[in-house]
Amino acid sequence: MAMMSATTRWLRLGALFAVVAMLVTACGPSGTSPSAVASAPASQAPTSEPPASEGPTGDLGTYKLGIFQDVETDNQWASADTSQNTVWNAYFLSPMTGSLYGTFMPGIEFGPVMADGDLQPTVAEGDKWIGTMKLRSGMLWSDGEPVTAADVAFTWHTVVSKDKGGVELLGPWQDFADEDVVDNVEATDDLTVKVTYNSQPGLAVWGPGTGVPQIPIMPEHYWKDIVADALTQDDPRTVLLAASGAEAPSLGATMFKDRQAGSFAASDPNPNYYDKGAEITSGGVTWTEGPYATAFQYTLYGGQDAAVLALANGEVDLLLNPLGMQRGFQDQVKENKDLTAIVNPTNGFRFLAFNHSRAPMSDHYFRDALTALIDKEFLTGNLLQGVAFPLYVILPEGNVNWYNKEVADQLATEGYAGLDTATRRKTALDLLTEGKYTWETAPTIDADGNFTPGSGIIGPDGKKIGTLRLISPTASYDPLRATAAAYIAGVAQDMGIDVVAVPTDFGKIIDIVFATNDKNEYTADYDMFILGYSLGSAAFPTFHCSFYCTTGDSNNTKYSSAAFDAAADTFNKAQTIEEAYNAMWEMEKLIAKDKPHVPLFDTGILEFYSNRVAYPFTDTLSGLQFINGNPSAVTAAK
Amino acid sequence: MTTTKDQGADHGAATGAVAAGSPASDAFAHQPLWKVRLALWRRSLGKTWGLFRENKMGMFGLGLILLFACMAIAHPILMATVWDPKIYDPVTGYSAVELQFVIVEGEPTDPSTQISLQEARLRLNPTVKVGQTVTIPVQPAPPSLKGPNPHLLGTDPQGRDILSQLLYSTRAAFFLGAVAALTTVLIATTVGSIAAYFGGFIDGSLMRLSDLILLMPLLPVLILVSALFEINMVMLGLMIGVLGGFGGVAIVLKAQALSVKVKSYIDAARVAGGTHWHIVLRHIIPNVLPLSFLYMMFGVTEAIAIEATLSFFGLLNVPMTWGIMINTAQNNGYLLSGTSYWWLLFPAGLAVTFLCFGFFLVGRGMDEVINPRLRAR
Amino acid sequence: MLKFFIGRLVQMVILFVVFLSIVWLLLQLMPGDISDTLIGNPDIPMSVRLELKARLGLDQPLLQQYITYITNFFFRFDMGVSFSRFPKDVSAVLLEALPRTLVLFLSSTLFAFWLGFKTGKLIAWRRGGRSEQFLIVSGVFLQTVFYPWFAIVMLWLFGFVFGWFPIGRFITAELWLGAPFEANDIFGRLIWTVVIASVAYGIARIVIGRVAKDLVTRERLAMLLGLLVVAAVVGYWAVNPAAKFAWDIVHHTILPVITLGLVAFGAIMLLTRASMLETLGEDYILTARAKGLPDNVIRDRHAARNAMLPVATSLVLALSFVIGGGIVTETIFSWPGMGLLFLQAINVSDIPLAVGALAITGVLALVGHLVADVLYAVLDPRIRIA
Repeated sequence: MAMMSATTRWLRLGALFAVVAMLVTACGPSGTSPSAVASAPASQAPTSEPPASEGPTGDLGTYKLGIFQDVETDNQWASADTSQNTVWNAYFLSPMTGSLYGTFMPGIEFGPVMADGDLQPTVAEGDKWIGTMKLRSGMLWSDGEPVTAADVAFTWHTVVSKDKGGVELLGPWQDFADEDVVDNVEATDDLTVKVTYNSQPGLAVWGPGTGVPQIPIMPEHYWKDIVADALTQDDPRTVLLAASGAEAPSLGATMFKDRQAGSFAASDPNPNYYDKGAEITSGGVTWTEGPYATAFQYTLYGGQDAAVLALANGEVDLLLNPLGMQRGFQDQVKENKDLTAIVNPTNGFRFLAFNHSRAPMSDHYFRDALTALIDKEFLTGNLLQGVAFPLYVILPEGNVNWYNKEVADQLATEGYAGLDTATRRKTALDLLTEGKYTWETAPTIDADGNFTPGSGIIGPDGKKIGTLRLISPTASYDPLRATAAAYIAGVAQDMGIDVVAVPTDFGKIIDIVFATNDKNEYTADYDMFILGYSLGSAAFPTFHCSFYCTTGDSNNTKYSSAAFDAAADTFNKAQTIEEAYNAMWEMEKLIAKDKPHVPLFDTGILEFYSNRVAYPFTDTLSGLQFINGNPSAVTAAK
Repeated sequence: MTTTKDQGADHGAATGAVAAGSPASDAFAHQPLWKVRLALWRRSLGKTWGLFRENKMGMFGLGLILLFACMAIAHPILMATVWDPKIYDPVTGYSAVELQFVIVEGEPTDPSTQISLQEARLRLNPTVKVGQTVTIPVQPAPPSLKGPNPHLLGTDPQGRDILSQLLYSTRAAFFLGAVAALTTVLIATTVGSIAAYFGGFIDGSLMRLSDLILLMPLLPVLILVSALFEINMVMLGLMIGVLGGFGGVAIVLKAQALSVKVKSYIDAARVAGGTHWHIVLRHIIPNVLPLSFLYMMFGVTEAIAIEATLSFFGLLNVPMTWGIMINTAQNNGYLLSGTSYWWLLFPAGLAVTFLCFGFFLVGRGMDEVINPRLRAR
Repeated sequence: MLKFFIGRLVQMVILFVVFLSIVWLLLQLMPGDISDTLIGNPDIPMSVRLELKARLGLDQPLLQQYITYITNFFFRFDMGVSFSRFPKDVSAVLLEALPRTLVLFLSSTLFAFWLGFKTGKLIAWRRGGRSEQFLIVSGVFLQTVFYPWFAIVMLWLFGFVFGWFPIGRFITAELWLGAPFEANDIFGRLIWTVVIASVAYGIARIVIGRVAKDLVTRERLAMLLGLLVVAAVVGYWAVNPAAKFAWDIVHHTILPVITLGLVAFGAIMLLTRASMLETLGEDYILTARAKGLPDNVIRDRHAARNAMLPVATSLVLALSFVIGGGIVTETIFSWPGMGLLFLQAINVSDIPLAVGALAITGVLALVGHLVADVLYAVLDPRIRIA
């Protein structure tokens, strides 16, 4: 139940693209956090290096970031709870945290962040399974206190449910805590964390998926009394979330300095940053961690227009936005020699969804026929002017480690890629006829291949199918999806299927398609809709199940398939990446066959930064915003 | 809004006397009453028109309105004759000059046929590869007269003709303005006349209601309503009309009606056995009408401005209006591009401004006709 | 006078209750259950929802619900919790944004009135020049200009092309970093200085009016007094440790205030002119001329004073404009006041916050109305005698 509401919250938050946020916070802490794999623990001599000498290009001064909604908290608990799990809070707060393990960008590799060595498999001990993790030695909080295994245990015991003596935090915290499988987390000595599982955990919880190894570590010495006090109150969660975290010490590259509501937030470099000066290699790029900036400033802008002007004026170095910047700014940026534009693939997709609890959408003949009619190459290449690219599988191509071009191409062919219009119509007509659909006036294709549109399609049960409403965002919200909806309605109309595109306010779409009843089940009172999802963890794509499992948190289309549930189960229990990989592509195949969603297209994420700053890498999935603007490694340009 | 209560009242009394047809001259003696009324009405209208014509700014405003009216009429004609709907439809039309490029590694040697990978990725999407031939449409395109499908005012970021959008939206603006203004006048005249004539409790409660509605911050209320309910143009027009009609205009018209009520011919009518409704309909309302008409002009101005603002914020779900045009420019990042993409911002912004300007000037012109002291010496 | 004031105050409160009732009715009219609208946000835990339900009276019958709604507002200033900023209360979120909106609101209204009245007076006095034509046309243009577009052009022109003013926002982050003040404190203090200075000036004006009988002396004294007040305000801020912070806020405030003020200015100027023309035809102006009084005395003391009456009433009209325009201004100038909050709340379907912002806007409108009424009473000799 709680999980479901948590998800719904993210859906709302992500209002813009659709469902942004998701696990952005979750990956945040580890986003930039580089692997300490190769390098000797930088923390051994965290303060010995003078800041000026270690920067490859010297002192950056203040690193200035533009944001579009206020940073509303300084409390890390709140930032990773549903209540304040906004991407804006995460941009500011997640560079302050750290976790034992995490994902490294740009290579999307899972590995040790603050831990000493790779994650070892769990071992059976009676009917329990034990996982052990070791912290690197000598790491300090920004206030000089040592980082201990007790901090990790404290964090876990704080977020768990009331029955287990915790405060019961929601949202991403629940994903980290994994209470359904984790029995206990304890510190066996200063640096060793012991996690006890009820059953053998898969990689989804003990590994690159979200679980205890990636839980953001909170300072026990600061929060202990506050948590203890909260637990004596009626509503400990609200009390803890409302507490100030301004003075809390940090682990990551930055530490809290100031926050003026409605204007800006600011942080300082953390002298005790666990990876300070460490050399890191990820995705073939090697760089040395800073932080090189003397201060970090997050300035609030009311709109992109004003923000781009400020960027051109040199008032800000990089604009952070989960959706990227609008294309129209490109020309302005291009003319300006002081600015650079970059584009990256996104970790997301935009799709057409069918209501599987309502005929004729519940009939696979119907879904197949409609899919066959949609010429995604024409839609993206012509109607959307090449700004978007067609999709045939859910997993984004940008997720290089998981993407399988061979299977994806094969699924694309099965998904009617590259057919001409005549073939599409013929295929759809055949499919519908096979599915025992009839028409008042049937569409026909004569010997020369000339097509005559039909009208009044009649279902296999002999009843006329009325108007089907295809809900999509309005053109002012997203012209791409609005255009796609109009196109799909058009091709369906030709086939005699009365599909009408209904441009609807974004908020209202969310209200309609994610509506739940008293029992927190989706009511699914719609025919079809077009939305987009932004995805979470790229290191371990756990999202398929949440969208398509029978009991998936975000399965609002009421799609249900035993085969899919089984594949998802295999994925979640997988002990090796290979196993998980195969299971995931099994799920992809089932999705391509059953079409709970038809993936339509996606676009790149466009970002601008000032040439005053330089980044070790800018080719990274979902852009610089995904790694919070890389505060730990950004330098002054030469 | 430039009229105060007293000014309106003075005038109403004057026209009232004429329109009520009290001095029946010999020439009219043998004609039916309605003809007499018509002739008098026509004469008074002619006189008013004569006065109005002297007002240069009023005439300029009228000219502007006529110009916009021509634009509104022109759109369906152009669409039916010279404009191909596939290209010029304000919502679904599309055309763009398409340039073909081959993607090359590094800087292109021939910029007219080649494009660097970096540039292609930015222009299109991150999946493009070196060696691929890509088509890049030029949009928003600047105004041009060339080519088979000239766009006199250029195209918007979605390759749609700006001129067509501009003309199409004019119709919507007139429609909305008309709905709102008629509703305002209908309600305000009725409320004002009834309140003035009956007085007492009816007057008190109606005027308190007016006070309240006058206090309603119109734009915020409409923003909330548009968030709570899905509203279309007719509903928006009606809402603006109702809120406007019950508010300030009703108060002014009541003052006007009050000055009519105390005239002797009202007493005469009452003595002659006229019912309340007869008196209100035949004597009071006709005398309040000129002033209502004046407020109708201001009503149109307000309605158009409010609609444009709401659609600028993207709160209205309508296919195309001037506000949506600016909203489109904003959504695509051209809002503060200044003069370099002027055709995205200035035609729509100026259209809203000038149509409002036109109606406002006409209103002012009428005001000066009604209120002689404002006329130039 | 006091009786009049209290009478109006009571009337305003009643009007406000009716206004709140209409908003309540709107919420009730929404499809679905009102609980869904006001507390049905999935991130609010069930236990908090139940507690809120009781607090907001949503578990009670309709009439009781309504009464709780009204009393909650008046006696506890409780409008529920904000969905988007949970666990913050709506009232807390609003109170934070209120001072910023007040600064914008007060300064642009004052600016518009001061400038509008001055110019309106002058062009009515000197009829017929080219400058009159020009001012009238620009006045009408400003009044009818499509405001969001106008604001964009202003921001682009003065913020970017000329670079005279900051591009949006309300404080400079670099300056305020680690500042010993909260921006809202400074806002509050700025508001208080302006209010105290205006009240002091007003009282002193009245005293001067009683003491100095000679018109010319009175004018001079008033001028001197005006200078004194300005000097006092500037002096207070100059020695204040928060001076540079206050100046930073003022610098950010200028462009939005001018933009919003200019549009309201058009209407005020035109109205003053019309009203002046009306007054100038009156007998007592003729009498004053016959007495041989200097032109500016007749203009300012006799004509303008009476012409001000309808202008004061028009404050109400201007208010509704400034409130609506405030939303646009705040959005375009990234000004984090109630208007921006309101729109953001609307965009994320945070209905409790949106309704709260609307209610506060209603209060603002009412207070403005009350001020206009009182002003009218002070200015109109007939009411003073009565």
